[in-house]
Amino acid sequence: MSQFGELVLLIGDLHIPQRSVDLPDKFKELLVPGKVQHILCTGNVGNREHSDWLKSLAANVHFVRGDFDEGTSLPEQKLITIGDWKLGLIHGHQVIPWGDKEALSNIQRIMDCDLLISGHTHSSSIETYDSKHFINPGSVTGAYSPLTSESRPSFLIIALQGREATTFLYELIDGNVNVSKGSLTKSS
Amino acid sequence: MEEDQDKILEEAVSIVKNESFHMQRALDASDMKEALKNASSMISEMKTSSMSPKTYYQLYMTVFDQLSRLENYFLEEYRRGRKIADLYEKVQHASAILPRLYLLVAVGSVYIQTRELPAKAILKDLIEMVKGVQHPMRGLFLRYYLNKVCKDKLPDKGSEYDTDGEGTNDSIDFLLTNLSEMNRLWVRMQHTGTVKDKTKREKERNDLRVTVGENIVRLSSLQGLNLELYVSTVLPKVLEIITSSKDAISQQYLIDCIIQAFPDAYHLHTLEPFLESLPQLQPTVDVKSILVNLLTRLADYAGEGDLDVVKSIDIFGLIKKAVDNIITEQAGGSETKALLQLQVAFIRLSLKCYPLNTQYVNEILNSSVTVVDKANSAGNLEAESLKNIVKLLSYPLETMSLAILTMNNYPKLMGYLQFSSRKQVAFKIVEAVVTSKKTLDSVDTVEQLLHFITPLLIDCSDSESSEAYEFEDEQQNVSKLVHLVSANTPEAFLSIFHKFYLTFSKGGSNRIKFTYPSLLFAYLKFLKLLDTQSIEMDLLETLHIIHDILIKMAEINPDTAIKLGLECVLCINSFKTNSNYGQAAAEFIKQVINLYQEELADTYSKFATVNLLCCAASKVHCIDLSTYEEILQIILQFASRQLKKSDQCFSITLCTHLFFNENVHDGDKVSGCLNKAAGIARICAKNPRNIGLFVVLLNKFVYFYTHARGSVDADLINGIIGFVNEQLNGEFEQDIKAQIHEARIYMKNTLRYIKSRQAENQLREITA
Repeated sequence: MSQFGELVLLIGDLHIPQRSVDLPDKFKELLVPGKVQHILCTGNVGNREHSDWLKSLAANVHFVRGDFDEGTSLPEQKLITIGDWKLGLIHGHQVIPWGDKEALSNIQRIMDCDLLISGHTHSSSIETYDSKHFINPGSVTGAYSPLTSESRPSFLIIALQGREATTFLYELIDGNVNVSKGSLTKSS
Repeated sequence: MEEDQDKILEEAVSIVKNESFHMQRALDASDMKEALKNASSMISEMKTSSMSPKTYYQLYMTVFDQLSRLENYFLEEYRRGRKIADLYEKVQHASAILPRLYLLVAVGSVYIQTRELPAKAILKDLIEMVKGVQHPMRGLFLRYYLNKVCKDKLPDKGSEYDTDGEGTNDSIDFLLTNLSEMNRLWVRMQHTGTVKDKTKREKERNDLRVTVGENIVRLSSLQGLNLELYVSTVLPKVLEIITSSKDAISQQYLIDCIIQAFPDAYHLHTLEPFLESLPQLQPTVDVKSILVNLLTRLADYAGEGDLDVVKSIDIFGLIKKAVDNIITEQAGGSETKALLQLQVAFIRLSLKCYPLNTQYVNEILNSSVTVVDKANSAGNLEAESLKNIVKLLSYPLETMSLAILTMNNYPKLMGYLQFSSRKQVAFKIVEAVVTSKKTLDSVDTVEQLLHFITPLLIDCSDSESSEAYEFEDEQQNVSKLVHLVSANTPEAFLSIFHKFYLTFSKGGSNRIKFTYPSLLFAYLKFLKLLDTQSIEMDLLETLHIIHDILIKMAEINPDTAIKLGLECVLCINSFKTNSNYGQAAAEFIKQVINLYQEELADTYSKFATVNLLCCAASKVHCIDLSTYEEILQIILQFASRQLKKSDQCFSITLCTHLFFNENVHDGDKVSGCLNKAAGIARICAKNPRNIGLFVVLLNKFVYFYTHARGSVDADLINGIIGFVNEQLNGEFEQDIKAQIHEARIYMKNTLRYIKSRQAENQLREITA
C-alpha cells in the first residue's frame, strides 16, 4: 500500500432510490472494504443504507451536502489535508454556472485547496486551470441528469504521493469497466 | 438403581482384570490351556443379566481390549508353527457357550488372516455358530464383536481376501445375514418382560440401536459396492428386513440409517422403491421426519450439480405422490407444523432440481393451501406453521422472483398469514425483483406485482406500524421498482407508470414521501428517452400528472417539491424534439416561485433556494421572453429581500448570471446587479466581519470584466482591491478572527489569480 501513497476514492451522486436502483455490479465487485484509506463523497447519496455502506469501506469517509441530501446536517464544503495535498470537496449545485471551470476556480480560491472535487453534473472530468486541479467523479450509478445527454457510471481513485497524484478514472462503458490513468502535480 | 449398576460393573470389571492378569501370565509362560481357561472366566462375566445396556457396554469394552491381546497372541502362535485349525477346534471345548463363541470368533478372525481357508468359508461358519446365543442383549454384543473383528477381513473387492472376484457379494451376504439376525434379536426385546416395563425396555432398545445399525454402516463402506449392487441386492434385502419386522422402533431407526449411510446419488436413483416401502411401515413410524431428512439431503446434494439423473427419473412425481398421500391422511389434524415442514423440504428440493419450473412450485403451494385451510378451519394454525408458510413463499423467490406472479396459489397462501408476515413476504418479493434487476415490461405483470405486495403499499385492515428505519427501508425498496420499467412503446411505458401512480397515491403521505420522487424521476427519465430517440408525442397529459405529483409533494415537503419542480423545468428545457412545452416549463417555475413565497419560512432554506433558482433559471431557454423576464425579476426580488443583508449581497451577485449566460447577454443588468450588491456590501462592511463580501464581489467583477466587456470598470476593480487590502490590514477582535483569516486567504488567492492572468496578457488594467 505504501508504495502507491495514500489512496483516495472520489465518488458521489448515487441518487438511490430516487433515480437509480443500485451501483453497477462490476463496480460493486471493486468497491470493497480496505482498498482505500480515504473516501471523499460529493453528495446526493440518496439513502442511509448507502451512506452506511460508504462508511464501511474505509477509515476516513467525508461527505458534503448535495441538493437532494435532506434531513442531514452535512457541511456545504470541506477541506481535507492528506500529506502535501489540500483537497476541497463540494457538491457543486451551489456553484454558478454549474460545472463552469472559472466558477469552480473561484471556489478553489475561497477554499485554498490544491485540488477541488465536485459533482452534480453527472459527467466525469479531470481538468487543470490556473495551475490548480479540478476533478468531477461523475455519478457512480449513472443517474439521470438533465445536464447531460448520457450519464456514464463512473468514479475515481487518486493515489497521493508527495506532490504527485496519479488518477484512475473508472467508467462503465458498454457493460465493461474501463480504467484511464493520468497524473497531476501540486503547484507550488 | 444407578448405584447398583456402578457397583455391579465395578465387581465385574475387577474379576475381568484379575482373570486377564492371570491370562497374560499364562501366555507369557506359553501355557495356552491355562490362558484359555482364564479367558473363558473373563468372558463369562458377560453372561450377566443384571446389567443395563450402557453398563454392559462398558464391560464389553474392557473385555474387548483383552480379547485383542489374545488375538495377537493367536496370530503369533500361528507364525510360530501352531496349526490354526487345531486352535479353532480347541476353543470350542470351552464349557459355557458365550465364552466358547467369543473365543471362536477371535480365532476365526485370525484364521481368515492366515488365508489357509477362504474368508467366505470361515465367515459362514462363524455366522452360523453365533446363532447359539439367543438372548437379545448378549446376542447383539456378540454379533457386534463379530462385526468389529471382521471389519478389515471381509473379502471385499480389492482386499487381499477376495480370492475369486465374488468377494463383495459374499461380504454383502454376511452383513445382511448379521443384520437380519440382529434385528430379530433387537425386536424380540420389545416383547419380553411385563407391560409395566415397556418404557424402560424401549429406552434400553434405543441404547442398543447402534449395534444393529453398524451392519448398514459396514455395507455402505464396502469398496466393491456400486449403484448396481445397491439397487439389485442391498436395498431390496434391507428394505425387506425392515418392513417384515413390523416393529416401529426398528423401522424408524434403520430407514434413517439407510438415508445417512448411503450416498445421496444412490437415493436419487432408488427413490421409487424407497418411497414405496414407506406406506408399508408401522403406523406409528414418523414417515414425515424420514422424508424431511431425505428431501433435505437430496436438495443439498442436487445443489452441487450432477442432475442428469433428474432427467431420467420423475423425482417430482414420485415424491409428490408420497407426500400427497400423507397429506390426505393427516391434514386437519395436529400435525400441521410437521406437514408444512415436509412441504418446505419438498419445495427446496424442487427448486434445486428444477430451478425454473414454476408449475411444480405452484403444485406444492396448492397442497400446502389444502393443509393450511384444513388447519385453519379446525382452529389449529399456530406460529410455527405460519413460519413454515413464510419459508414456502420465500424460497422460490431466490431463483424465480417475478415468475411467482404466475402462481395462483401464492397469494392464497399469503392470505393466511398475519400482517407482519405478509409484509415480510412482500418485502422479500420486492427485494428479489430488485436484486434480479428484472425488467417490468407489461401492465399485467406490474398489476400482479403490486397486488402481491399490497401490505407494503397501503394500510390494510390488520396493519401494524413499522419501526422508522424499517419503514424507510421498505418504502425505498418499493420506490426502486419504477426504475425497472422498460417497455416497447411509449404508450406501454406510460400505462405502467400510471399503474404505479394510482397505487402509490393510495399509500398516504408517509409512503408518498418516498415513492413519488422516484416516480417523478422515472417519468423525467422517460421523457428524456423519448427526446433522445426523437419520438414526437403529446406530452400534456404526462406533464399534467407530473404537475399533480408536485402538488402532492408540496403538501408533504415544500423544499423537496421546489427541487423536484426545478428538475422538471430543466428536463423540459433539455428537449430537442418535443420543443414546444415552454409554457409547461413556465408553469413549473411559477409553481416553485409560489412555494417559495407561501411555504418557505426558514432563512437558510430561502437563501439556498434563491441560489438554486439562479443556477437553474440561468440555464433556461425554452420559455417565452416576456414570461422569462418576469421570472428573472421575481428571483432578483427574492434575492433582495433576504433577511440578512449579507445574504442579500451574496444572492444579488448570483443574480448577475441570470442576465449573462448561454442564452442572455445583458451587460447593463449585470452592471446593475453588481452595483446594487456593492452598495449593500458597503453597508455590511461597517462591521469588519463582512469584509469577505467584498472579496466575493471582487471575483465577480473580475469575471464579468473578462466575459461581459463594458459592464465593469477597471477603476472600480482597482478601487475594491485597494479598499479590501486596507481593511484587511491590522488587528481584529478574537470573535471575528476566523472570518478575517478566511477573507485574507481568499484575497491572497484572488490576487494570485489576477497576476497569473496578467502573465497571460489579460487583466492588464488591474493593479493586483
